[in-house]
Amino acid sequence: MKNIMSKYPKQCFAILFAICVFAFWMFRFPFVLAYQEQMQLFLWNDSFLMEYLTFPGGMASYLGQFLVQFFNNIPLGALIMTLAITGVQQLCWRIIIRQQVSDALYPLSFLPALGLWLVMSDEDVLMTYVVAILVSLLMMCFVPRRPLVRLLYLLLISTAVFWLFGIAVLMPVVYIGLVFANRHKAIDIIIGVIGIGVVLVSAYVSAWIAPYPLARIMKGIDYFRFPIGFDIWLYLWMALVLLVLALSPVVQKLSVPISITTRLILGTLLVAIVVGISLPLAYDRDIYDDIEYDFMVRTQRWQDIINKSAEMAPVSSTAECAVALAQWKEQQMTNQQLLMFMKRANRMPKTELTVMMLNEIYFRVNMVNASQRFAFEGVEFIPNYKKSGRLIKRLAETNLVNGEYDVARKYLQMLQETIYYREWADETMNLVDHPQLILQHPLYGPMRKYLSHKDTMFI
Amino acid sequence: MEKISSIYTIVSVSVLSLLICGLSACSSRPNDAILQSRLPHIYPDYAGVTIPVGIAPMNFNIVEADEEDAYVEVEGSKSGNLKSTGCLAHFDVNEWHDFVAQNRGGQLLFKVYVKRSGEWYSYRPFSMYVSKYTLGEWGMTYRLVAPSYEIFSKMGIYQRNLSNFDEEAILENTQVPGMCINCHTSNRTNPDAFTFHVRGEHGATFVRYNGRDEWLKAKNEKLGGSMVYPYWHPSGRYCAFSTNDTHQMFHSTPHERIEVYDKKSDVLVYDVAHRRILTDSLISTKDWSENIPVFSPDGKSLYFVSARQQIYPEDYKKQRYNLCRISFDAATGKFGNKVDTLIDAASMGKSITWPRPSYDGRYIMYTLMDYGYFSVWHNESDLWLLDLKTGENRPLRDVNSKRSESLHNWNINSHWFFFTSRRDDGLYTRIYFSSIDDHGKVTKPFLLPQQNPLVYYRRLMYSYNTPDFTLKPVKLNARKAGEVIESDERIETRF
Repeated sequence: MKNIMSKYPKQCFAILFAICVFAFWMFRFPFVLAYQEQMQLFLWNDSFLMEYLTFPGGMASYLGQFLVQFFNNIPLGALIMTLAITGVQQLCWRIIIRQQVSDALYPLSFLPALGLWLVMSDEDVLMTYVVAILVSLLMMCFVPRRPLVRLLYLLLISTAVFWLFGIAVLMPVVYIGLVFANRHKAIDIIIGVIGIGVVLVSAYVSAWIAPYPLARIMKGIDYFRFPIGFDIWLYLWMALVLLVLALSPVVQKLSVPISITTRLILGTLLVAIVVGISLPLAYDRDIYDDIEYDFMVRTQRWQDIINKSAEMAPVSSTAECAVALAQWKEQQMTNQQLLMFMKRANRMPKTELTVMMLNEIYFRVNMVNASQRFAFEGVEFIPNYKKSGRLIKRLAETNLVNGEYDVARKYLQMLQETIYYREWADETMNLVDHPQLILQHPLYGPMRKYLSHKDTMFI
Repeated sequence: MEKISSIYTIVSVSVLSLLICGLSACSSRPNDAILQSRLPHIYPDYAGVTIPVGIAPMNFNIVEADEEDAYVEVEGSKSGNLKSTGCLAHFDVNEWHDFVAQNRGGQLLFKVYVKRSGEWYSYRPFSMYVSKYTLGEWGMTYRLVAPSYEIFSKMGIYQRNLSNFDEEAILENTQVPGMCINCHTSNRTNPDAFTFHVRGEHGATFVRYNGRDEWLKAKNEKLGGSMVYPYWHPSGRYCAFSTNDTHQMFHSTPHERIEVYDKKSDVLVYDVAHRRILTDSLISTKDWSENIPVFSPDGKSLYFVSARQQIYPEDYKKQRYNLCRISFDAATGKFGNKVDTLIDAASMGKSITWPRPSYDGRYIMYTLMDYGYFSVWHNESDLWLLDLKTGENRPLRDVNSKRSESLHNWNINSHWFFFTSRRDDGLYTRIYFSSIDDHGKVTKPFLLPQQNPLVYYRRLMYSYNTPDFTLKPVKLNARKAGEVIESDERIETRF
């Protein structure tokens, strides 16, 4: 083992890093992957693709959603996150070594990857951003050295790549213009300035073509889940990458009378310490409790919910709803108590997750219309106007139970254009085609049988 | 960009459709087809509809079970013919226009052949009739919005060219996140006078008049609410609005969802030239809710609906609106001194909403429902027609369905009208067109044509809301509009 590590130190540390990232998403925060998946719905049809070619950064959003659909499978989702974060590290290293530096600087390439790992602690930072920066880093790996070719390359990035992947292309443009360039050569400076200027013009022109304000285009459409506001760390991260790349030759010159391997090991240990301290701080957020409760409701782990609430009493409305439902399912709460709780829950401030919980509670107590309402609201609540596979599935169910077969069919047809919901949609479509089978269904049969036809108005 | 995206969509759908069905498509009439006595199953159901010259190609999908291929032949009763191969019957836009124009006043006979299990079957031919009445309007405007409850996501107002499949956004709420746009209305289909309302943090009422665009403050303090449900005076100088205290309740039974109601509402007229709100005690009463105002085509009357205000939620089924009228003097901006009840729907146990006079002054079309006024959520909502010349008041049985019909309006020559209907699936409203002749006979309605209607409408997760004909495209700089909306620069209205 020691021989392998001393013979292949870079590879070993990269693999170790990858294992840590994988384990982090697989075992510690799998519910965050499920949350990302349920806040979107990737459809395998041409209309869906065409929609994302009509605004800058659309292809990044499309590819980001393409990847997130696989988060339905937690190990696969953890693998995708691992490949993304280690991909950043590998690409940064490819860019750094173009500056003729030694392997002792290898640990430096982990800083951007660590930075991304920290940025992703905000659950509203989307895979769109990750795709955009990966493509941007890729562009930075192949910068031509000849000035004219470099200029053409820069123009391509500033226009076509900007349209496809959004404002993250400023990173390669600034890199090419200011870091890669020879600052003593006027032609390099001019090329850099042209590149930055063309990106800004592209953004300005885009605001005339696409139905988005310039401010939003400059922030990156769909990099962040909320159209209003942004996470400043998305942009500081890009600056960090440029800083690391710019400082690499400077660090290279620092003279330390120890071997390269020792420097490598010390540098990696330093990175590991930073990871060990910063990650827990970044990921220690109240919202994760809510996301975890929601995940456990989705996967029907009622006793786990109760155990979690025993460790720390639920504070948020989402958590309260999850615990109430779990207690009712485990017969620790009576029907009457649950109804009293729901009266109170209806007056709670609504968030995406609270609405999700209300839909779940109402569905399980067979108040189908109310479940349908909150499922629909849940879809409309998604701030970046995406759909939700989980909620569309619920809408198909409620309409099926209510006998609204045409609407149920519409939602099922939508789900038939997905990977993970297709099989369930195909099976359920059989019930739409043969409604007489509904009463025999173990879940929908009793729901249909005990559906109340007395109209009570909810305000 | 939306126009470009619609072209991309048309091209991609066309290419895909042609690839899927065209590779093995039959390019000439199949021989020895087995005759079927019934009509073919097609979507939309265009058999027997009446269409205007200039309408977009009436493409339809053949939806027979286990279909492998299809062939469609169309013969004009006067001249010409077209054919189409594949499961999607589709026609070139220019060829279609020429063909339909040649057969104005006549009919187009469609013969459909379908291949199943290697055998060809031919079905009973059906006709589309070409109306002698023109549809002079360029297109339609409408809002696309999900049929949601209290929260909304993406929405916008759009316009569609009725002679082809081009649709583009006038204004979408991606321009100003969180805004809700509604109540877009032009004056007798002419968008030179145009208004719409913006709700949300940066609320406003947009009014275009005499080449001038103004952004009014969304709410007037004295009014206590926003100005909604606009309808222009034919002169363009005034626009009628109502101001409503609107709420929602939610049903618990299957097949019902939402009940939208007002705790109070009043009607007013906005003098666009002087930025003044005109009101009267007869249209703004304490115990009655006045709503949905519309001017008569000669501008001398203001129609509206009125109901004795009930106590909510207990008495929600008792709120029933009658159709009323008050005179209006455009020269002085004054109202008459009495309100006439044209139709006492309440005494019949019914409620009227959405009155829409034809522009030739002959009819008022309205929606009749069991109670309330927000017809889109009432399955029983049907279109009725009041003939102002003869006094006849009748349901449009040839047009109505078991689902909600509502939000109708006329074209300028008053021989065409559209309405929104939930007949397709019970939830997502679609636009249908029908014509009416000089004797008051209406024709079978047809669904707004699309390049590939089955795929398009299946995938569309929005409802068409408050559509209207438009004589020409609406010109609005969406980017500039977004900037103004966010700027909160507004003009005050006054009494």
